[in-house]
Amino acid sequence: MSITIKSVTKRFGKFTALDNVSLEVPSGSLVALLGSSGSGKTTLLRIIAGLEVPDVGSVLIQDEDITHASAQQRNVGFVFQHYALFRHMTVYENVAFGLRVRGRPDGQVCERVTELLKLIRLEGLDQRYPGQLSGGQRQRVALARALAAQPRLLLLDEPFGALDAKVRQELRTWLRRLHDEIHVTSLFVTHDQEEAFAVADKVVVMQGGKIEQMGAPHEVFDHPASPFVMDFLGNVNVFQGRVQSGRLLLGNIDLAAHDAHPQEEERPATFYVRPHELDIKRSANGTPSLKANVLHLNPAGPVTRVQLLAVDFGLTVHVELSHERRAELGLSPGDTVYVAPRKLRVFLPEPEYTI
Amino acid sequence: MTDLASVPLVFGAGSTQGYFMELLPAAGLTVLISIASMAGAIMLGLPIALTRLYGPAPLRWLALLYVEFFRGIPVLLLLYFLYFVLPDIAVNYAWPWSMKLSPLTAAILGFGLNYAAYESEIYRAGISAIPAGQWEAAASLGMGPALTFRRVILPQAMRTILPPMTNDFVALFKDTSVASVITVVELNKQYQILVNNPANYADYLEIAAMTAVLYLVMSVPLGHLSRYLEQRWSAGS
Repeated sequence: MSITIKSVTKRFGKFTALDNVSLEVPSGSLVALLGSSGSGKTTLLRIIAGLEVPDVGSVLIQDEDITHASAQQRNVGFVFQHYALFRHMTVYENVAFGLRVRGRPDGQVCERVTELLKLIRLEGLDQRYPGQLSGGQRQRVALARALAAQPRLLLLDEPFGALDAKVRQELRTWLRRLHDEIHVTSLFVTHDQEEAFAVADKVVVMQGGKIEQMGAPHEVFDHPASPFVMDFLGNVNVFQGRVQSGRLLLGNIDLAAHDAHPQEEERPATFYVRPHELDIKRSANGTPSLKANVLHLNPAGPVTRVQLLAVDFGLTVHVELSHERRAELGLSPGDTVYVAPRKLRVFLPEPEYTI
Repeated sequence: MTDLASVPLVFGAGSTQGYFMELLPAAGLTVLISIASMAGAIMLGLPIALTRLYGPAPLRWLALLYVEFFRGIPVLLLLYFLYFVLPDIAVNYAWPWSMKLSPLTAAILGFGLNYAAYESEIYRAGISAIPAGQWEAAASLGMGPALTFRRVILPQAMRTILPPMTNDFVALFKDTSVASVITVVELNKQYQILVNNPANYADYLEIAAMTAVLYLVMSVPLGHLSRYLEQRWSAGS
């Protein structure tokens, strides 16, 4: 079922957690709310679950206004960051909880719980207590518990935040597959952009109680709407340059811009370049580039990370090269090279007017 | 100075069996007062704790007042008041009913009211230690607050509540000796009666040892019960 958030505002004392937020989550989709702490993402999730009440605005599931329904009445599955399993109950009883509340007969409960335990691959552990499970297993039990009574929505609050990196990767892939099987409209909160991109159909980037940008992962990653989103979605090099007559100027680099600042008048601008969008050359050869000294090479991982000092700017630049390209260049610290951007992104601040 | 070796240990007017038969009913009374007042305290303590935690403001203050009052006055004074003063007040102010209580009733009531204050604080600490996520998880699974409290919160709180409560029971068990001031002949009083009888003077050590053993055989198993309950309630954590 779809979720509609209409102009929701929520304050905690003087702190505005959500500032007039509107959002549409299509039925059957898996959406990530991405943001740093204090961005309002968890508050939004808790408002949808009925664990917080918005000061202003409304929340609809399908066409039903549930703004004032209690959490108990909403039939929304919620998975907590720290699992919130009932530790005095066995795995079986935890999963059965939502069914028992609804007074389902024992036979039906048993059938559904068995089915879910199979789904989370914990058959045979049904008589264990949560304290006897690993973190990843606990989180899977929490998920099964939330799904047991066929909720209208599934909400997950930093579901993998408390797990170690490997288990996190596994569970993330598993969640994606699970969602492809059961198609329940799901919304999950994360501060990990990699996780959001790996799992979600749609990513909603939040900051300061507002939505900065939403869209499919590749759209958001390739076309960030603001410097914040650009910066938030991974490492980025920031250069202070100028724009003039539709051209981006940085040192001796002079690139044509598609739509930025067609005016004659020159103005300062900030350029953003991702490390993999920079290439390193041995000689300038007329290509627009920045002269730089190699400071450090880190070949561990899928790419080589190169740290350089742009001589004319006194600025540290990060570049990611394939191992092949590095071998071809034969780089070592101390070398003087030329850094050429394949792509420059510019966000022009709103022009200031004086009256 | 008496040479200890010269004191005959098993020699006196009464026989060992005789003392034991006199001490035993008194010990029974001690057990009765302890169990009855603790049961009352445990039952009364929970609603007081719940009122303090979730009640509306005026009731919350009343519950706090109860706790502060009964924790603040000595139980001795409370027993005096219930047994000696209250009937007088009833008479002086011409209450339509008599407040004359039997010594046993007054003792059970006094200890019950006093310990209810302590138990309510133990309940309150145990209940508030349960993370809010437990309430939220139960609510999101469709459970109302009253049932959540019974099925989710209290069972988990019990594991932190039980050990200090059992401790309190052992403390109460020994406190019951105070009931002698309102003429209840419980174990400690019976001991005093026996040793103050000049005829039994020579056996004072034996009587004291027997009394101590009686207290111990009753209170030591309580400690074991406490440990057993702790283990049982903490299954799986």
